[in-house]
Amino acid sequence: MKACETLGIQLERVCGEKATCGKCKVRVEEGFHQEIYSSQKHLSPMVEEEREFFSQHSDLTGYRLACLARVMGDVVIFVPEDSRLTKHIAWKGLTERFVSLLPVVRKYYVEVPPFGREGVGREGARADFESLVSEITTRFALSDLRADHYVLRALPSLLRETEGKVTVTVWMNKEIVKIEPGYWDVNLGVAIDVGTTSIAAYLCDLVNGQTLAAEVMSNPQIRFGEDVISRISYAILAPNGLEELQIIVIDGLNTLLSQVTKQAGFQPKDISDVCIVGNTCMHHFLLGLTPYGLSRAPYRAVVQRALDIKARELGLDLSPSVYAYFLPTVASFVGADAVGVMLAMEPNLEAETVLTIDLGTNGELILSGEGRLLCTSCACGPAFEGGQVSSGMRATAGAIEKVRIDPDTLEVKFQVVGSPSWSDGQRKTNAKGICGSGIIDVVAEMLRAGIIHADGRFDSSISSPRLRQTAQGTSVFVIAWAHETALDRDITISNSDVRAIQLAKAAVYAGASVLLRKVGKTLPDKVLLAGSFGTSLDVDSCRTIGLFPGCDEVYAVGNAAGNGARLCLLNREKRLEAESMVQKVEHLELAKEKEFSRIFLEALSLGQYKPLASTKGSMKDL
Amino acid sequence: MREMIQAIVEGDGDKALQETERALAQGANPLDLVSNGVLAAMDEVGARWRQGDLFIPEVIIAAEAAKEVMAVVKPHLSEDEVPTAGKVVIGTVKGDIHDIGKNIVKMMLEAGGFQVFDLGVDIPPEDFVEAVTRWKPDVLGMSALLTVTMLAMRDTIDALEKAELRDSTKVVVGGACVTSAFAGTIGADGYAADAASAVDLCRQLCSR
Ligand code: B12
Repeated sequence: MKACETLGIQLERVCGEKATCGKCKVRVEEGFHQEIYSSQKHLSPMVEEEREFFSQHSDLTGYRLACLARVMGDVVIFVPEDSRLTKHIAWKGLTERFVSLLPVVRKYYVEVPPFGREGVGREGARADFESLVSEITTRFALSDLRADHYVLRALPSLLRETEGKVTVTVWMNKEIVKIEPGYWDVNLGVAIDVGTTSIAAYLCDLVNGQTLAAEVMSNPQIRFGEDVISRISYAILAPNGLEELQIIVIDGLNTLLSQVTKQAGFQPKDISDVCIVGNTCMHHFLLGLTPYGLSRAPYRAVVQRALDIKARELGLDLSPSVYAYFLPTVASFVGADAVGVMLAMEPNLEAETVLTIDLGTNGELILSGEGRLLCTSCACGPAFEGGQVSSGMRATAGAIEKVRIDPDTLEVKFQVVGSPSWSDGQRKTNAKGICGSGIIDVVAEMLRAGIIHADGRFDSSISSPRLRQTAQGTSVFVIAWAHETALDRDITISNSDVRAIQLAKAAVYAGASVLLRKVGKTLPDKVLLAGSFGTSLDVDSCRTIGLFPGCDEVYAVGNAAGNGARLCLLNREKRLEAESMVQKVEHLELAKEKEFSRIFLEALSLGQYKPLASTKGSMKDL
Repeated sequence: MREMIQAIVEGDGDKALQETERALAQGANPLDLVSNGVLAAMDEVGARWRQGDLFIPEVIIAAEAAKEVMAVVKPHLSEDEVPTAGKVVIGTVKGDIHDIGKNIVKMMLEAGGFQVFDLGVDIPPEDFVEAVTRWKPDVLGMSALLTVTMLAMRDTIDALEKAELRDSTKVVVGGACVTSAFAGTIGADGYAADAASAVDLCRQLCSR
């Protein structure tokens, strides 16, 4: 794996080098290749875990797992397309909404007298900074302005070159964070949502409130494990692990910032404000705070309140004195991203009961209604993001994101990320796997078509070329035939894939039910689905598999966390709102809720909730 | 008896009880009902689970039915005939509160004729040691679902060694994040990926 990376080929590393996902498989070419004698024997012998993996994947002979195999001699390695870490192109739209413009940074154009054409005047003996401040305070309603030494260092030459004509960026009415030559009224801010799986950035014009550009990338930390716990383990156990994780995510952000500004014809140095949301773990990694407390009971974060940090201290390549604002967090597993979601959904506690679900590896649930605001996290696992699913992948190029199955013929058609047309059973597509929204579609459609039963079992009485038995006696259903894909094999859904979805959806369902019970309800009036699934998520499919307690009004709202960050960028009062919201919100720990397990077990069945006809209420004991 | 087995596998507790009572009334051998009936049924449940045919809820209901049948048959067995496959102490390790998997392992073990002492969740090494001292089980089972709590299993094994209890007790481990390789590194006697395999594993270790 190190060798591949040195050569500039990034490999998938979904399981964080635990030899379970097999996504980093590579093939060793045997024999001479351009004067290199390559052989399997030039790699370290297989260790126990690797042998275990390949014993379950007999179709992969000749392959090795790059995370375990060490290079001992000359080898020529073939890296299959699906082993490569590709660029993220998940949905990145952002629903536009109304908000009054009141950014924390404002621009003021001034002409500082001593540097003007009239030459040295009455105040000639004053220091540069004092002259500047005096000019600003007399012309605008500002007082007590300060600046850090980065601003001071740049000040003298700027004033002399421009004859005192500069545009000053003032933060919070009290600090000069940037001085630009001449009249420059472009005021840009960037909202960033750092997710476990992907990072999104939105470039906003703080003069008119518009979003100028948006970019998404996959979180480069994924190499260290798919879920936060794996990354926390790395941060704690590996020497300099935390530092490494911080550097890698900041590097990623710098790339993203230059892309998003470039898209709109600007540069990172044009940015004057940054707002960041992310789950508590990503928040800690960005700040270089130890995640130790997050990893074990009683799950204690280092800091909860909102933070203003100089962007340069984080290592962001922006104008050096600019601030980055971190939204506050609620708890170890209900982070600033959830606070962003709460802001964006503008809960009206007295109106209807609204359940908001932010789906990801760690699902966050927010319930508002009956005068209360509640939240919790449910560790549903990576299945909704393509993890723990045999053909699963993230929503990148080549991911099947929509699936339909004809209930009569059992014929399948699918759509791949980035291409608007349905497959036709013949044409070759660039399909390489299935992402979360596609997997939810598959399970829902298989249920509708009767291929699986509500208990998740494959119907053995169905005969179709698409349904086949593996050597181990389990079943798989073919979604895409080999000739329709970019791989040389069928893309299938197995019995255990369905089981993984059942576990994940039961966790979400049970978490939501527990919240609803707290406000004395069984069903919500409205459900909002947030998350990187974005618009491709099929609301009906979610309803069909029974992802949440039944309800007619269901909306997919896209990246609500990013939207919350954007609101904080546009309006400083939203920051205060966020800060008071974390005081008000009641955080529920599902681990302490007695009824969670029972509901979880009952909710394992697919479809709309029916309490199981258990013999003597055995589920109650669990 | 075939009907009884069928009823257990399908999780139909009432029918299983009816069939058991009918078999007993017809003079069936109670011991036979247990070993070739209930235990056979649970073996089938395990096999069908592994094949993907049954899932957690169905397995729980089947185990529950098996338990009820056992309760009916037990009074017909003499003291020394009551089959005890062995004694198992089980718990979820310190820092971890995931117990659904552990509870299923417990149910399956009980349905398989084991006597199980369940310590609950978030159990520190000292408490495992104390329970082993008190109950002298054949097997100690530990469950962990978090990558960060897995290491607590090693701490418990170390504590057992210190208390000189390691040789008299087999240690088995499980839970979603645990692998057989990990079980090997910490010096456990066995690992099982699911509750059905856990029963087989414990049987194996107890018969040695
Ligand atoms: C339900 C659940 C919860 C519930 C637990 C309720 C309860 N009372 O158990 C709640 C919501 C409380 C919860 C909390 C947390 N969870 Co949680 N949870 C899950 C979930 C969805 C299912 C686990 C489960 O019950 N599976 C079903 C059972 C039957 O399977 P099983 O436990 O593996 O058990 C089987 C085998 O492993 C084996 N086995 C089990 N024990 C033993 C023991 C022995 C001796 C043997 C031989 C065999 C054996 O037999 C069992 C039956 O076949 C998983 C994700 C997933 N999809 O798996 C996450 C998951 C385990 N949780 C996770 C996390 C991170 C957490 C939290 C830290 C985060 C949070 N959001 O709050 C907290 C931690 C709480 C704590 N201190 O432990 C992560 C762990 C990641 C990691 N790499 O460590 C997971 C994997 C999800 C994820 N990928 O993010 N969780």
